[in-house]
Amino acid sequence: MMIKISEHFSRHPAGRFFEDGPDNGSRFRDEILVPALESGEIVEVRIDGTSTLPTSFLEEGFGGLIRRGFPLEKLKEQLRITSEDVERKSFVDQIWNYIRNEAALT
Amino acid sequence: MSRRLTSKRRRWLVRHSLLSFRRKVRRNAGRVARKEAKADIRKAEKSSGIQRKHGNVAYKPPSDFSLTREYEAVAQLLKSFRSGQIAKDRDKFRERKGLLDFTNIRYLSPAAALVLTAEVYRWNEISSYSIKPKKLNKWDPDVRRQLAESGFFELLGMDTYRPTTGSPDKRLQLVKFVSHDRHNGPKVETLLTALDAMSEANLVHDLPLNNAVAEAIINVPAHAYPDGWDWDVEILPKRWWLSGSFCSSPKEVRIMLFDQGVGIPQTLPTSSLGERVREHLTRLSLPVNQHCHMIRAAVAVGRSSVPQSGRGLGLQEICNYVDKRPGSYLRILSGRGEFIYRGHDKIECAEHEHDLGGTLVEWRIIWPSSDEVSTPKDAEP
Repeated sequence: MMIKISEHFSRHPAGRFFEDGPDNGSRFRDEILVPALESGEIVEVRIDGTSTLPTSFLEEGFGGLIRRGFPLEKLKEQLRITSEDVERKSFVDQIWNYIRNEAALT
Repeated sequence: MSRRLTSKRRRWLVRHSLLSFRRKVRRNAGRVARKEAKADIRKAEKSSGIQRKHGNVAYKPPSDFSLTREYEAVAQLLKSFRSGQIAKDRDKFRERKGLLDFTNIRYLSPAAALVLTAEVYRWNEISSYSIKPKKLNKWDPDVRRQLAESGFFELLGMDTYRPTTGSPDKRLQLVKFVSHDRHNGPKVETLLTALDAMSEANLVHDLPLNNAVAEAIINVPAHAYPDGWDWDVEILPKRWWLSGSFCSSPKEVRIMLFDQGVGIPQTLPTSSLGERVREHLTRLSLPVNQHCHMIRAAVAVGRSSVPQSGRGLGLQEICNYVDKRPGSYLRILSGRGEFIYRGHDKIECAEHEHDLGGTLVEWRIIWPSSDEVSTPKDAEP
């Protein structure tokens, strides 16, 4: 299953929670990412095409999966984060760092 | 037949006249004190560019309306502007109308224009008094044009006003401000698109810049207007204002975000960073109560911490852009503190006398090469 953040969620993702803005990380996680992962399929998240990818959104959207009870090992098996944009390749590593950091805390 | 004064009545009369004399003295003393206090206020107001006449209050700012060179004068005027008309106890002020007399402004910095615009915005939202420009045709043509570009006159109900007189110097152009109470991607994109049309800087596709602006905006509803704060002025909760400018020589773009919140130094004691900020200041032997050093410490601590489920201040991403873009710089004015970051740990701090009444975050992007970078003070015309 392919999820393009810019098409399936928003071109302007930002913030953690509802009070930060409509396109926040917790909404992306709960409405898009969690249902996709719960289907059991391999989920590929394409991060290209957005105007923003701020830390607050990425940490809550992806690091928050651990807080929602998804084990790191399961995410490693089921979740793919991709980009065709050279500038955004570093964000892929950044997202996995958020996930690993949160897993290390719990 | 004359009534004979008994000793009891005599005592009563003496006591009564003494009391009434004391009351009169007290009343007069109060009157004199009030008159003196009022004279002091008027004197202070006059020195900060405020005049009250015929039930109106006129605001006359300094000729160099810049938060770089004339910070104290501009901040003082803005403070009087806030407290005079939109203070909670405004009923004690009898003015019916606010008049903006900008005839003596010769230079208007984009940052000061945004802070002023935000104050007028709040005035419109909160105050029942009207606010109007005074002697508009005598204002500097360039100042009029810049304010018109920034959307200032629309706030004054002059939607159709288009300044045409003079031959304005188009070296410095402003874009119309946008405002909201949460992050709003389309609004930010509209502003950056307008700046791109002037500068060809392609800011819309500059991901680190967009991230920095987004994090700064998210900070506003998250931190700037804490619940339960004892405000001395009425506020527009969670509101922010974003604006930009383009200068063609030297070629530079400025993007400015302003909020009318409590300021970064005030949010720190209750923030998750508060304790570490105090430790950082103590370790460096810096004063723990100076706003500029508090901002500096918040940035240092925020940059070294790992973002986790709690709230950070998003300062890491706000500063990171400057590291990635040689020649750019970041300025944060918050409370009484001023913090300038020129990338790769080059920092300047200044403590001011007056509080700005909020937080201003300004990114200044200069290109094409860092060789042409000038200092903030001498770059302003």
